[in-house]
Amino acid sequence: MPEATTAFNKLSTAITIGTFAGFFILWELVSKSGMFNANLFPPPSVILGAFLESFADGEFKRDVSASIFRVGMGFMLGSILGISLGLMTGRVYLFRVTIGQLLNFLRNIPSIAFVPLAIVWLGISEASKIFLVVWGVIFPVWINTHQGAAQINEQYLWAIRSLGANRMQAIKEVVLPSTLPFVVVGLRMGIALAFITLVAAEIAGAFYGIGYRISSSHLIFRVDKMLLGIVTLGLLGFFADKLYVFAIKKTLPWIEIR
Amino acid sequence: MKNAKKLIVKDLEIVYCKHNRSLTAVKGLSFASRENEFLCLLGPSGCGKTTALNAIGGFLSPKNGEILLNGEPITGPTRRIGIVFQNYALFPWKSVNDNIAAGLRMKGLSPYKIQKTVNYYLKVMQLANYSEFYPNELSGGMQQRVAVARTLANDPEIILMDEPFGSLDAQTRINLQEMLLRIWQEHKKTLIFVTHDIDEALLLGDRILVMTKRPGRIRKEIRNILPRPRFYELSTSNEYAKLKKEVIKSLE
Repeated sequence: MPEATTAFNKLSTAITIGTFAGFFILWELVSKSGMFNANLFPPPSVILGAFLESFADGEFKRDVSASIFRVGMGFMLGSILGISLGLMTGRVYLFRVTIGQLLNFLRNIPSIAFVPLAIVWLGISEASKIFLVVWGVIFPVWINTHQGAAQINEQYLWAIRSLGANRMQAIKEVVLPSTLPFVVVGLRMGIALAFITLVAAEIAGAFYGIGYRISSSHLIFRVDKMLLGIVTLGLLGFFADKLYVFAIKKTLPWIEIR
Repeated sequence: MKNAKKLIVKDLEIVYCKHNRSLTAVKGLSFASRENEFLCLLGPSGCGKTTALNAIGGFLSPKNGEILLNGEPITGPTRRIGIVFQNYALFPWKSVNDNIAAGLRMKGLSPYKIQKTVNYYLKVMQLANYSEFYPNELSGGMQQRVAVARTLANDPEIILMDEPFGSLDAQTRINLQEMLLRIWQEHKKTLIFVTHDIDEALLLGDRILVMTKRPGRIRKEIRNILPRPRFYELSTSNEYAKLKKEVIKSLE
């Protein structure tokens, strides 16, 4: 059984790599076929050239590390806030009818709507970017945690209490782990939203970063560099999600995540 | 102390409020369970037997009446009263080993002592090869064995069981019933076992309390004089058939 699973996993990975290779080869062929203007729709080989150029002068590294720092910080802060708020509003009536309703009001405001305001408040600084990412991350994390904390199977609580748990032990032994599968989903959505808000923030005003590079390359008509930024974002998000799923599988084997 | 009253339920009334309507699940329910007695509460589904059990567990507060354990009223869930639920209620985030150890760990015992007790129940419940498994990787019968082990390992003064074998297939049910009989024979716990299955009550109980329809109270008390140790074959004997007739009559 484990051997079969390993073989199956290897096959899955091979198929995934094949799919990606096929995608980029097809892109290369279509782009070079003359069907479209190759200046507007450059092939991957040209984008690879842009990458090598950008990598050589250090621009790529600076952009990517700046973006990863912003996403990472924003995601971390947003997650901590979202999880804490979710546990509060999910478990405590008073918080549900006060903070919970306030969050429901704020939740519907797209973070992109805050971009100009964030610049007015915090300038073109790291703080304004991180603030926007936090705004993007906090709500999916909050509402999933809230839902998970609110719908805990009462029998788990009964079971742990009759095994001798006091209030704090019941929280540690049942409330937190019961909520975790929902937190896991919320965080996964949070990762995607972190990237979305990051790019919005960087396009609006920054000195470097992947979003900034896409936007500034537009001004000098470097379509290859724009696409390099876009592909980089896709790959970063893809690997962030893979890393996340891997980490969950390793640390929380009882949660089924795919 | 052999016949001391361990648990007393006096004139219990429990009312549920659902969808703006109140529903009296149990009314005027009184009975007592004795030290080391295997007591069965038998009644049709919806008769309030689960409600009564949840009240004894301290999960529900009665509208009227009282529940006394060793003469003291029950105010909430306590480790002195263990419970096994029909759908197991195992913690999905804990392995079999950690589910069984849960109560002992909260007690703050030494890891060595905890593991010794856990290993004992893993062996008794035939789970030794599954200690690292998670509940969702086990069959229903195995999950219920873990749930029973979890409650036994915590060594409560009294154990409540709410139709624990109700959702298992016939073969598995018989295995678990015999396993429970063996353990009870050895450890002599005070047990209150809720079931709607006449055969189960006859096989397991020292006494059978037959309940009325909702709102539930005790309709009849039947002393189960069948000899112990009991095995499933018992159900083919004449005494068994006679007693079964008596129970069926009391249900009519």
